[in-house]
Amino acid sequence: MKTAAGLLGAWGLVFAQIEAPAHDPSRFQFLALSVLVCLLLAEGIGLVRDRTRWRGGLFRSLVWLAAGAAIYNPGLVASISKPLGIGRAADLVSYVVALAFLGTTFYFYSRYVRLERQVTELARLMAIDRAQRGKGPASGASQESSELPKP
Amino acid sequence: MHTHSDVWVVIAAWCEAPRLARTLAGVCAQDVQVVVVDDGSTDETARVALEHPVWLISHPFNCGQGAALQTGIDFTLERGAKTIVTFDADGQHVAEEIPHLVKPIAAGDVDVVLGSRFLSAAAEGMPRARRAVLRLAVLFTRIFSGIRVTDTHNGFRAFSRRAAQEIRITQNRMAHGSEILDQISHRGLSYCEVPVTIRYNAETLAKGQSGWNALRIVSQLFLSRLVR
Repeated sequence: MKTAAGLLGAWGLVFAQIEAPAHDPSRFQFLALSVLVCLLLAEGIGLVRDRTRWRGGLFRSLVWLAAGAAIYNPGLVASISKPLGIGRAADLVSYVVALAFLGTTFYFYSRYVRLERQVTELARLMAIDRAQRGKGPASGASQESSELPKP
Repeated sequence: MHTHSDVWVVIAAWCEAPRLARTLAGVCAQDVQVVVVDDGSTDETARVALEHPVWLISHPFNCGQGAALQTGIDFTLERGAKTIVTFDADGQHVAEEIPHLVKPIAAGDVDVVLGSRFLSAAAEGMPRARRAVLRLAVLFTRIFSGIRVTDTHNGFRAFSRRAAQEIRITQNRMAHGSEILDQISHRGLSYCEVPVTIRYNAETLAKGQSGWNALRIVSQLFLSRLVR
């Protein structure tokens, strides 16, 4: 919790250092920043209600703050992209989005595969538990459940 | 037929009611124990199976052929099977070839016996496109798994108890055939191929592997290397 508060505080200081843009905020900036503030408030309320999930809340809050900083002052992204050797700020955003998309896709695919395996194992256990014996023409056995002694 | 054979035949069946009776009539005539895994069929597959002297295991929903085979193998291992044969439900395999298939395992020569349609006389009615896809699959398997076989997706195979315990099928759907070969190679299990007959007809071809499915299998195998 202290770590989370420290990180968020540090981000707040970074935010305070950002120069205000020369012109008034556009409608998009106003709307987007309003939404981000609401999201941050929701994260804060969630944190107060359930303190055990602070790691996820902290991660999301940092993402919202980064998005807010980039929207509030687009020049900030340009100041990061240039030292990285990327000419345009928009290119940096594209690269980050592409990498995030790939990472997210792989993360969810991995989770899907694990979940599918778990569900299959559950279905398997249920099916074996309910095995039935067919009635053979010569065996004369009636339909019965799988209560044969196991070796 | 009431048998105490140590050889168990696992048949994964999904919506195979029209063909299953004929397949089971042939398999049950052999000195084997049979388990049919009904993989969430929506037709009369389970009812048809229960009319024969077999064990029936029913998945609550469709999990895929690979998952169904693993379910059947788990069941047979619980009941002390010494040799486990996998056999397709659609009647494209010949039940009379089962003794021939399990012979190298019974002799203690190998852990796994793989049926190969390309070692026998030309498969009956195999289309050229299917033959080309299977040849490419052989090449891919040699590169991907480092195992030299002539037929990579033949559902007619036999495992010793040890091999069945070591191999774990995690590819629920059609990629399980390649996964089994991959695990044979990875775990250093001994294997051999024996010639078997595959009978093609319009119904079996409709349910078999297409070129598109082959691509899906390749992609699933690559992804499975990333996700363990």
